[in-house]
Amino acid sequence: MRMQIHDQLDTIIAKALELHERGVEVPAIIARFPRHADLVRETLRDAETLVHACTRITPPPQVLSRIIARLPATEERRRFSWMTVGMRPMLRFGLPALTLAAVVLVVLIRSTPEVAPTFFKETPPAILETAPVSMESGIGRESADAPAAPPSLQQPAPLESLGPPVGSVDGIVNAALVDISNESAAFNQELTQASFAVPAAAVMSDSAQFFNEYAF
Amino acid sequence: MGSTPEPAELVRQAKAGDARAFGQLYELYFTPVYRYIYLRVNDKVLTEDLTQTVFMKVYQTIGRFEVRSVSPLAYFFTVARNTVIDHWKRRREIRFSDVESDAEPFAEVADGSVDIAVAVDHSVTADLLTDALATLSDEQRDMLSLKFLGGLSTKEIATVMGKREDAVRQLQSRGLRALRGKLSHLRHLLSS
Repeated sequence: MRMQIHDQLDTIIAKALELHERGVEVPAIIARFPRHADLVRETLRDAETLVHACTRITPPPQVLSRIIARLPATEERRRFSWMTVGMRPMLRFGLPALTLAAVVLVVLIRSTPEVAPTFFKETPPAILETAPVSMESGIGRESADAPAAPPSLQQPAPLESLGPPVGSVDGIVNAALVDISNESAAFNQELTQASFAVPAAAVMSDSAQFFNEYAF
Repeated sequence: MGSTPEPAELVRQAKAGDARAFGQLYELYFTPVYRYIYLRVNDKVLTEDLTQTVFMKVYQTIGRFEVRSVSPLAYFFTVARNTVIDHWKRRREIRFSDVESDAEPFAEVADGSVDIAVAVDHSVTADLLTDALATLSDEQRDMLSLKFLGGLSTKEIATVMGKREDAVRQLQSRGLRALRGKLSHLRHLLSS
C-alpha cells in the first residue's frame, strides 16, 4: 500500500517535471495537480534550488588556462602509459635516451636467440613503437638478412627473420644514434604542434614538469 | 565579430582537424563538465585532473563521434560519467561520502584572484549541495547532477545513462522526493 502511494507520488512528480522541461509555467503546472499542489510546488522549488546552487560552483578563472596548458603533457603521459613504474625514471633523460635504451635492449635480446621469441611475443607493441626506425634500421643496416625497409609495427616480421645482429656493435650504435637524433627532432615538433595556442614556453615548462614528476 | 557556431558545427570542424573549433567546444562545455565532476568527487584538484582527462579523451575520440546519434553535450557528459566511474573503479575502496574535502578550499583567495566573501559563499554552497546529494543513491545523484547541474534533457540523460526515458523520469522523481526537506539551508543561503 505504502509502495503504491510512493509510486503515485513519483508519477506526479515525473509528470510535473516533464511539463516543466517543456516550458510550462510553474503556476500552470501546480494548477494541474490541485490535490498535490504542495508536493509539486516544493519539488519544483527544489529543482530550481539545485540549478541555482550549481551556478555557484564555478571553476576559478585560471583553471581553464591551467588545464589547457597541461594538455600537451597529458598527451605525452598517454604516449608513455605503457611503461612500467620501474622504466619511468628513463623519461628524465628524454626520448633519445629511452630510444637508445630500447635499441640496446633489442640488440641484447637478439644476441640471445633462445629468449627472443618470448621477448617479441610479450613486449607491448608500444615499446617497439617508441623507437621503430632506430631499432629496425640500426640493426638492419649491417644485416644481410634484414628487409630493405623497416617492417610495419602493425604487421610484425615473422620471428624466424629476427636473427642475431650481424656487424660491429659500433656500426649498429652509430646508425641508431643518427636515427635517434631524427626521432628526437620529430618528437619536439610534435610536442609544439600539440598545443592549443599555448605559448611555446608554457608547453616546454609543462613538459619539463612532467619529466620532473618521474625523476626519482 | 561573428557569433559562435552551433556545437554540432564545431564538432564537425574539430573532426576535420580544426584545433580552434575544439578549443571553442572546450570553453563551451568546460564549466558544466567541471561542475558535474566536482559534485561526483567533491575535490577540486581531482576535479581538475578528471576534467582534463575528459577533454583529452574527447579530443582523441572525436573523429569517431557521430552528431546524429547523440548531441555534443551528451557526448561530453558520457565521457565525463565514464571517467568518474573509471576513477571510482580504480579507487574501489573509497566511497563518495568518504572523500576528504578539498585540502585547500581557498587557494584562489591566497593568490588574490577571488574575493574571500565570494570564496566562502561558494564553498559553503558546494558543501551544502554535496552533503544533500550524498544522501542519495549513486544513480539518483548521477541523474540529478546530469539534469540540474549539467543541464541535459531527459532524453539526453537516458542516452548517457543507458536507460529508458521513463526510467530516468522515475529516478529523477525519487531523487527529488528523497531530497525533500534537505535543501532548506541551501535555499536560505542562496536567497540571502
